[in-house]
Amino acid sequence: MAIDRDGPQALGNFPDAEAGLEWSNELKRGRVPGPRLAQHKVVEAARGDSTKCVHAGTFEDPSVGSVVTPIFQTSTFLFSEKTYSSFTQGNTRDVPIYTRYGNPNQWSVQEKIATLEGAESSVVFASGMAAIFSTLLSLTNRGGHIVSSRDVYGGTYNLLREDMHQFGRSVSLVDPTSIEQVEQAICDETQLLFFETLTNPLLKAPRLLELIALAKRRQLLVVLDNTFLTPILFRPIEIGADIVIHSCTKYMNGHSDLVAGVASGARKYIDRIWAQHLKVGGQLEPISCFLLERGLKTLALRMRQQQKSANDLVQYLGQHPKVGKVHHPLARHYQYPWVDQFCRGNFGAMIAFEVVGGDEAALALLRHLRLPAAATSLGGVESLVSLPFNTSHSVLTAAQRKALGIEPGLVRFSVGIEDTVDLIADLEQALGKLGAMS
Amino acid sequence: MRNGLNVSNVSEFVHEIREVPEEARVRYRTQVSMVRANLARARVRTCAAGTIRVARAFELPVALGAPVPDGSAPSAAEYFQAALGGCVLVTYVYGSSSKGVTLSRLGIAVETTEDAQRRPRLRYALDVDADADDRQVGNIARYVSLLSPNHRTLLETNRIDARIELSDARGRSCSELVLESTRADQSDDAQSDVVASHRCDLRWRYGTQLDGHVCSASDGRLGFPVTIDQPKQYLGIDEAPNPQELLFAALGADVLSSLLDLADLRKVAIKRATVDFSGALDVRGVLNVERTAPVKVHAIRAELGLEADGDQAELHELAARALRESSLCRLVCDPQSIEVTVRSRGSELFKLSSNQRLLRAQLAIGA
Repeated sequence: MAIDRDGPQALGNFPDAEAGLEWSNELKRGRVPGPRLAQHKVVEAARGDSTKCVHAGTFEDPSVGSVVTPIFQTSTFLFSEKTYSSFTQGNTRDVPIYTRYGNPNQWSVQEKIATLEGAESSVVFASGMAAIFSTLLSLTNRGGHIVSSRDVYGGTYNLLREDMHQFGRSVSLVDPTSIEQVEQAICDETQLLFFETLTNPLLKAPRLLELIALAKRRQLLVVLDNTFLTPILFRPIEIGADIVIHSCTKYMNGHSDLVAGVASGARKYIDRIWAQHLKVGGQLEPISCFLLERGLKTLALRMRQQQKSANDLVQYLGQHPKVGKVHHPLARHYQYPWVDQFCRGNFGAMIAFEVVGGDEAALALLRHLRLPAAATSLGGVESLVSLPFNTSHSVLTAAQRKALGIEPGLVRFSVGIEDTVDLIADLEQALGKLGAMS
Repeated sequence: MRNGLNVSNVSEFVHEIREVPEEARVRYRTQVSMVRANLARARVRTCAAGTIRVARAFELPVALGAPVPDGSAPSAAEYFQAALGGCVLVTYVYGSSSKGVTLSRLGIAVETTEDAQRRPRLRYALDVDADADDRQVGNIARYVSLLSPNHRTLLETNRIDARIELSDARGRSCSELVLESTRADQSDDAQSDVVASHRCDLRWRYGTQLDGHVCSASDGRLGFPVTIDQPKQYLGIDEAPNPQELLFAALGADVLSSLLDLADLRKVAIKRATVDFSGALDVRGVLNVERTAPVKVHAIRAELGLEADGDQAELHELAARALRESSLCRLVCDPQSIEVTVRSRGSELFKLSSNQRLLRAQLAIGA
């Protein structure tokens, strides 16, 4: 005789609320956006990007009416009933207690970035690497597995290769443009996919729509580093990514005068990342938050100009006899046409190109350029130029670089906001000198 | 933080699963495999928690049948005690934290005895020291008897869907069967002479972490230490398996033990044997968010993988019999009665016989 009542039709729970049998169901607090205070300006999602850049998150100073967010350069805040209650209830992220927990300057810049990303919440860090480390550690468990790519930024690669296994997480590195390789790497312990929306330096594009669909099917979290594109050009959360990360050192701040990072997404995940961040450190100082907030105000304007110049430079470089392959979605040889599924014509302001004559010629080009500074980093108002073979990818052997597609003579060019004609003229004279040398 | 739990996180989760029921569904899984004739290894596998996956990197040794000579592993029956006791304690911690009660001490002693007819008798004593009056301490204990998933699983009837997969040089073959209860209510038969007694003593440490010992009176071994915890996604710190994972470890090991005993009797050489148990939890039921959501562990599945030489039909029958003869599977399928004693600050508050009749009365759905 089968008498089982398994499944949802099994005996119920409590009779009803009127019986006075309250349990966890009676708890009142739901998740809220933020953290933010009443003084933090909230800008509706329907507003334009430039408006969000300027206004979202501004702390509207009630005491003297400061138009811009004041700097709350303090490590600690006076106790109040809210503070004591937050210690008991656990909502310490939402109350000013101590700057490692949170500070109105952090909340201003977080509110601005969350608004730009279309996210419930953001958390800022003292670097992009701090954001990546706290995110990966908090969203996986000991024994967990991460699928990522060899093409990620060198610092990220080192973290994945050298450190994650020390924390009990294993990592598989695959070709980010091959959905088959990603699928084959997924195993029972896989919890998270981590990729860059455009890779460094070759601007390879993962098949993001397929990756996200795959992740949903397999119950995996998708974390995307969108440093090269910024929320002005592409918002990964809109296509279903769970977390978006930026090195704010780059375009988000845009002035090459601070180091910072951010993670954005649903508050339930960002709270977990924040809780990890609280333990491992790497909080962003109030004065750096102030600088980042100021930099973000011009993000939309800067991206517009930088992208326009980059597009023109791609056209120019593509026709120059001293330039071999150009790596950019607008270039002739670009192999990842699905990039348009998410970028929709906005490909940012990074370009990589191969100089005829190999690394020696590329080194000579750097010496002849007058406007772009030969320096690491990217995304600032000033153009920067570097060679992967002796900087970001110098730890690899020549064969390993070739396997990734980094050929001799490759130059990475971060296009700044200088006048386009000046940048082209500078490249023209520098490339011309290469011709004279040969 | 109260009792080491972030009450805001519990509250936010309650609101989330009310709006998105999918996030409340968790599926735990433990795989038990034979190491040698009298020792198995239970490997806790990744759990599916709502829309994400939670890796669980735990391996437990389990003694099969006769005690391991060097006494290095608890038995399936002992893990079963820990699964019940751990679930009751952690439910008490969640409940008291939600209701604003701060615990200073919380412990449980679980005991299951068996007579020669293999009739079980389950009981536990809960020991509470908290900043609440006796009435509230007692009320929380009563709620726990309704809302602890493992306790509740034992009160109700359950089915186990099983799949047997054999492999040998000739290929693979599969069969399926369902284990279910054959009686509607708990047995009220008195036990005759007790032939086996298994015990677990657990103490709450902090948050969702519990420590204790398991032992069995009949074999004279010393107690084995056990630690229990929850995944960090459920406010634990990933220190140890949780009570549902222990329950599946116990069930898998008991079936494996039963299988090896039968194979020994029939002189069948088993080359490889694994027993995989999994089951679902609907956290909406456990947190009383949705009264129609089941509290108990449900959708329980067993998968036996067997590599042996012999007649395939006979091997399928042997595996099916191992499932049917597993005393812990029977304990889970049939409704049980659990004798509960509740003590506050060392003084006994009350005893209750937690069973289907009381459950129906408590749920006001008729006896």
